[in-house]
Order: sequence, then C-alpha cells, then structure tokens
Amino acid sequence: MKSLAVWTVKGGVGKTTAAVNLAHAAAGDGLRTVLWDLDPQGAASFYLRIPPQLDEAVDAVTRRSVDLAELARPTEFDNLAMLPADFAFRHLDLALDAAGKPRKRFAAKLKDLGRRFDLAILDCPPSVSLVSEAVVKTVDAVLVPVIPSTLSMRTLHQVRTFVAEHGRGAAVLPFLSMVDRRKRMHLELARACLADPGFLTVAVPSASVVEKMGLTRAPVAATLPSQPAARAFAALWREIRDRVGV
Amino acid sequence: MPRLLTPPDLDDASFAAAMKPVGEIALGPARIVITTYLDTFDWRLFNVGMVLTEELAGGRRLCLLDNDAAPYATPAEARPTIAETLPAGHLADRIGRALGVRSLLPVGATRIVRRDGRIEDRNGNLVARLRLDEVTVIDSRGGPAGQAVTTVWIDHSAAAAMLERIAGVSVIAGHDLVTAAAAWGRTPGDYSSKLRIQLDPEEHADRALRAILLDLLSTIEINTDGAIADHDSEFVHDLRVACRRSRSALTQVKGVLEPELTAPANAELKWLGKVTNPLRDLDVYLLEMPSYRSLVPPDAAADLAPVESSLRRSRARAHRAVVRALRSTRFSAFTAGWRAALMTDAPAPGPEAQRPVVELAADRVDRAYRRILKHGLRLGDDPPATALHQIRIDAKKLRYLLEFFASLFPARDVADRVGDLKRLQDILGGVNDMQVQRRRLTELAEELRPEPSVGTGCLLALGRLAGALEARQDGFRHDFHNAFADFASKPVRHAFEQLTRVRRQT
Repeated sequence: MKSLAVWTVKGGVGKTTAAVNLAHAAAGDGLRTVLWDLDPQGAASFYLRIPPQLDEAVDAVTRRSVDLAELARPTEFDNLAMLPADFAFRHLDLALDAAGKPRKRFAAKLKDLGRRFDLAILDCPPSVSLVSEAVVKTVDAVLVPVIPSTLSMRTLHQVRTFVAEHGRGAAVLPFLSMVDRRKRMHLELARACLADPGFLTVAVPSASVVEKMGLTRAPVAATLPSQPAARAFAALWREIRDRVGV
Repeated sequence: MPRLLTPPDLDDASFAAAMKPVGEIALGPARIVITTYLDTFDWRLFNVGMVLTEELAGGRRLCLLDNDAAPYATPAEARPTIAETLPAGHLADRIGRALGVRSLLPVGATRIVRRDGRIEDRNGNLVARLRLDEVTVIDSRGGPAGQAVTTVWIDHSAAAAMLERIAGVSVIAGHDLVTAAAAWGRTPGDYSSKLRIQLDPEEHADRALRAILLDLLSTIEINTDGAIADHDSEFVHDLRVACRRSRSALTQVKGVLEPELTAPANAELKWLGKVTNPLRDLDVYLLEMPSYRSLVPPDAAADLAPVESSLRRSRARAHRAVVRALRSTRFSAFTAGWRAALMTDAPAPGPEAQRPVVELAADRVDRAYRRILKHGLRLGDDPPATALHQIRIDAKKLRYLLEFFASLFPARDVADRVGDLKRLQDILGGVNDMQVQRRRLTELAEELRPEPSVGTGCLLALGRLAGALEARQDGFRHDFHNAFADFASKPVRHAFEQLTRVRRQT
C-alpha cells in the first residue's frame, strides 16, 4: 500500500477538497482507497457524508489491538472507504505522546490499512504537531497545496524544512491550488512555482464547483465530471500516481 | 451487501415509504449498463467464489464480487482475456493466479437499467447505499431472454430486513450469473477437465467402460470449438488428454468391448494425438518462455527474442493444421460413429464384459502398480532415459485407471494413492520435459542459424539455456531414486494392496 498525506501548515488552501477529490479519482482508477480524516474539523468526512465520529477514535490510533481497517466505512463510491474524523482528534497529540513511540504506532496503523487497501490518503490538520511529525515519518509522499501567494509559498518552505528534518524519505510534492487566472499575481507566481521541478505540473483552478462541494457533499467528478476543476483533479491524480509509482 | 428481488408493482413512493424509518431516499438518474459475465471455460473464478463482470455504460469497467470482500471495480480499456491482459493492481493480483494459463470468456450477459442512490439521515449523512437494477438477461445473440426483474442492493441490514417484510420481496444472490449463463446454454461449474464419472460397483464392465468412453468423447467434442477458436492453449490440451485417456481405457481394459469396434477408434484417437502433437509442444515452449528467460543471465535473455518469434510462427502453422483436422469429415465421422457405437445397451461379447466393474478395476489397478514396481526395481544407479520413459508411461497408465475407477473405491484412499503417484510422475515428467526441450532447442538452433536476424548472441543464449535445462534434468534424475523408493516402500505397497483387495472381497 502507498500512503499520501495532504498537509500544509496554512489553512484555507484547498487541502481537504484536494484530499477528497484525489481519493475519489484514485478509487475510480481501480485502487482500493481509504481516506483517513485526521483533522478534528471533520470536513472531509462531511464532504463524503460520513458522520464525523469514530468509535474509540483516539484508541483506534494509539492502541495496537484495534484494527484500523475494521473501522473504515464504505462511502457512496466504488473502492472508496473512509476513516472519519472525530472531535477527540484535537487531543491526538497528547494521546500519542502518552502512548509513546508515535511513529511506530502510526506505521503499525498504516500496515493494518495495507491489508485491505492499495492506497491511503491522509487529510492532516494544518498544524505542526506530534501527529504531523508521525505522519511525515511514515508516509510515502506529502502533497502540499500551494495558493500562488507569498504567504503560501513561505509555508511551503516551512513544510519542506520540516519534512527534511523529520521525514524518512517521504517525497514532498507541492501543487498549485485555487489558482485564479484572472489575477495577474496568481499567474506570475504560478509560473514561478512551475519553474521549480519539484512542483506537480497540474494546477487546480479556483472554481465555484469546488466551493459548492459543501452543498453537494460529493467530489466534483461525481456531480460535474466535465468541469475544469474535476478534470484538473483527475489529471493531478494521474501525475501523482506516476510520480509516486502507485 | 444484501440484494433483494422486488415485485414489479413496487413504485418509488411505496419504496420510499418503506424506508422512511431508516431515512430519506435520494436516487440518481437512470442509466443503461450492459453487463457481461466473464470466466474461464472451466469456471476457475466461480469455483473459488468469485464473479467477474464487464460493465459497459459510457466507459468499460470490470467489477469483481469476491466472496465476502467489498465489491471492487476498475476501469479497463479492453475486455481482458489471459491474465497478462488484466489491468494491473488488485484485479491482476487477485484473479491472475486463479486464471493460470486459461483465458476469460463471456459466459452470459444482462442489460440493466440502473439507478444508484443512498439513504440519508436528517443531517444528510450517508446511512446506506442503494442500487436499483431492472435486469433483463440477454441471450448469446443479444436478444432478451425472459422478463425483466427489479432488484435492490442495500448495504444496511435493518433496511434490508424492513424491505423483506413487503409482500413479494425476497433475498437473492448478489449476481445473475446462473440465469445469464443459462441463456447461453451454460451452467456454472458444468465443465472440468477432471473425470467425474459415477460408476456402480456391480455394474457390468461393458456398460461402465462405455460410460467412461462416452464421457471422454464428450470432452473431446466440448473442446473442439475452443481449440479451433484458439482462446487459450488448454482446449487443445484437454482434447488431447481425453484422447490419451480414451486410448488408455481401450488398451488397458481389454477383453470387454469387441476389437472390431475398438481398433478403428484407437487408430482415430492416435491420429488426433499425432495431429495435435506439434501444437501442444509449441504451446509448452511458449508457456515456458518466461522461465527460460529467467534461466539465462539477463543480457542473454534478450537474445532469446528471435527464438520466441520463431516459435510463434511455427505455432500459427501448427494451429492451422489442427483446425484443418478438427473441421475435417474424418473427425466428424469419427466422433459421430464412435458416439453411435458407444450408445448401446447390448451386451458386449468380450470375455470380461459381464464381470462386475469393481473386480475388473481392482485387477487392472493392481496389475498397473506391479508393472511400475517391476520396471523400477530393476533400474541401476544411472538409468537410461528410455527406461525412465517406460516408467513414466507405466505411471500415467496407473493414474488414468485410478481416475476412471475413482468412484468405485473410498474417495480418501484414491486421493492418497494419486498423491503417492503424483510425486513420482512430477519427477518423471520433469526428466522427460527437459529431455524433449533440449532436443527441440538443438533443432531450433539448426533452423534459426541461416536466418539473418539471428546473431551469435541468440545461438549462444540457446546454448546456455540448453546447459541450464540439462542441470535441471540432472536434478530431476537425482530426485527420482528417492521418489521411487518412497513409491515402492512397504506402506505404499500395502496401501495399494488394501485398495484393490478390499474391493475384490465385496
């Protein structure tokens, strides 16, 4: 199983919509996919209509005896299951710290998932914490959504530094998110980003269909597959698939 | 996920009302899905609890129902045939091994008007997934076969239980393989290359032998179309095995059927074996190619490419010869005549014809086992290839007898004796295969030498391969002595004596 974390330390950059749409695209591509919502806000769970509540949520992450794969719930979509968030995840750091060896515990949980899934996508909270440290130490790649703005690019630098310090070979794959082609600064910064060979080349546009996911509560490709944003997520998934070798 | 059959008069409003205690129903638009069930000719997926379908609805998807695992679907560019054509990933991992060398074939089809949907709670959360299907089975010409039925998939046991309370609703299988295959004249599990004849121990030998030969003739006939169409190598293989088994039955169980009948049939079966021989040999080489490549160093493996293309050209010629034979009047006259000759109840005149078959079977098995011991025990430390070949033939004859008469003996005992024999056969088969393949490599080198595309590298690679095969053959020869010692050991002798003695006493 390959594991991908969608993570950055800045909020509001399209992290969760990317996680949901990429998971949907991967499942449609024939990969048995699980989307693990680690963000206590539970937005990914909301988008996929899975109530944000997990039985013994924190125990499921910290205790070896609980098989995480057993807790995954089917979504409406073929091959796509979800581990919903839980509000208790706001204390996940403390619990992981108390349990000890957070990286080992996390790795064991991903191993559980590997028995039933080909791919795990982790929607991580936008913060630097023990959880993010355990995640970057365990996953195969970290997908970083970057809005073409100075602050967002500064954040990317922070993420790269953090993964370089704590990661164990995880690739950092930034991609352009919420690109507004009407804004000159977006276009200029986007060009600058794409000159960086580490960046994925597909950019996700800023689009009302993505914003409407809160109303449709479904990935954009499930409701409006021919929209540019839906096509962008599909293309982005293919690029990630080829880069990571899923 | 339970699936329920609903009565045709259950409308959306009544359905929604029935589901009200669970939640609100939200249904997507209807779409047409053409479903084709895929399995091997010998039902290798069905036999291990898997059902594979190709769904066409805009694009093509392959859907797998695999015992209790969650349903799985993956896009596919083309309908898969052999394992190598499956989309990489879960499907290839899961069913590739089950397919072995066989090809997937369509075995039934349905046309579905499908609506996907869900049941939501008050907050719009997913409570259950729904799938409403109006299914019409399609015959092999694409026309409807029977009335449409309406089914509901629902992954919520309480909701399914509520639906079940409605009159006319019942739980049904999660697929329509059985009805779809029936419209194509098939029944899941209806073909296996294994003999499955149930004999009555007291039945006269002539009746039993005719039943065995008829079953084998059916196997020959059933495989003819597939051998001509060339879906995979196993149609010709099974056809050949049925010919060999028939010949073995005719020559080993003498004194039952009249020789005027059996001699010409034997000649025709021999002809069929001979005419299909080159094709089978070439199939074996081509199936072995990946292993050949792994036997030589990686740089030499690439040099084997001209060998493979030459084998493929020869195979195409050999297949054309088989097609000519199977379409010939000689073949159709043989099968029709042989069937007519076997479809009689008249007592056969042979001296053994009226003996209870169980006695005859015990005699023949006993005799065949002793023959292997006789030939094997006089071998020295380094037996000549011809002597090992003789024992291989002896072992094959015993194997066929055990298969013909399996139903007359305790199933467990027969399985154990086949197991004893199989270990010996595998080693003898290995010695023989390596010998034949080495000889063929020499012939190939001779044939390929004048070809401009064949360089020194290719000939050297063939030489290295021949060396590797010789080493393998030596390994098999080395293993033979231990395997034969086991087969001739006291416990195995005793077990064979028990098997045949018990039945003779009854």
